[in-house]
Amino acid sequence: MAYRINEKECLKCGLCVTECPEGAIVVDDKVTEPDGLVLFTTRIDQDKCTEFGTCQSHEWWCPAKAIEKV
Amino acid sequence: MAETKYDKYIIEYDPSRYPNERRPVMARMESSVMEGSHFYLIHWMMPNVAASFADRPMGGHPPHIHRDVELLFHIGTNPDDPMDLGSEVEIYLGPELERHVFNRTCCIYIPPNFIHGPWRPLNTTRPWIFIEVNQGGEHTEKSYRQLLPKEVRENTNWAMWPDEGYDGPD
Repeated sequence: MAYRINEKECLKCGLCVTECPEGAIVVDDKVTEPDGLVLFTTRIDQDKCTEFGTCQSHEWWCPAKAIEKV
Repeated sequence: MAETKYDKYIIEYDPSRYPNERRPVMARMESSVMEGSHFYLIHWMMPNVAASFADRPMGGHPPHIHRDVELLFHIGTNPDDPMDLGSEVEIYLGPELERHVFNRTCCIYIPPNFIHGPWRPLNTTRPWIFIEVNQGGEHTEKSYRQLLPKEVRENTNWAMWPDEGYDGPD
């Protein structure tokens, strides 16, 4: 079992990076839109992920529900 | 009036604390006003506010989240029918921006980190009262402008909707 970020659902807000208690979600790319919005492409570092499931512990931990168990 | 032991618990809204506030606020409480208090904001919604939103599809408060549960009370003032809101209000819920329109007195429950908005009154025939409760000591907010159509994003004054209480990854 592992967790991964569904790129189609992800809103690239970066919230998961600051919220993961294990620091297991990292930024792969960062893009600044013309209106100043910063979008983050993120992924789960499987070496750091403890699979404790905090990211799925409540319904809206990820506002886009983009983190899934595989 | 002489100061008494419990005067401090009778709190009147102090507009000088919020120089950027534009709404007709009646009361605002938070932990910086009284330690231990959650966040409460109560203000009137007047017919002219709805008129200002009328030609702005998906205008109003953009999609956003809060760290704590939020309760959005929409309270009508019709003495003959307390459930008559006196207004038609539009709100979009979830990352799918599911559209809802209602005209009855109600409370909208917003879970932590649940995307909600845009929110706007479509029309108002009678002033009504809006009560916003955040079940945390201070107001937090993070916008999701990436959900909005390009033209709406370009015509929004983002300085009005700053993120509060959420740190970015960098």
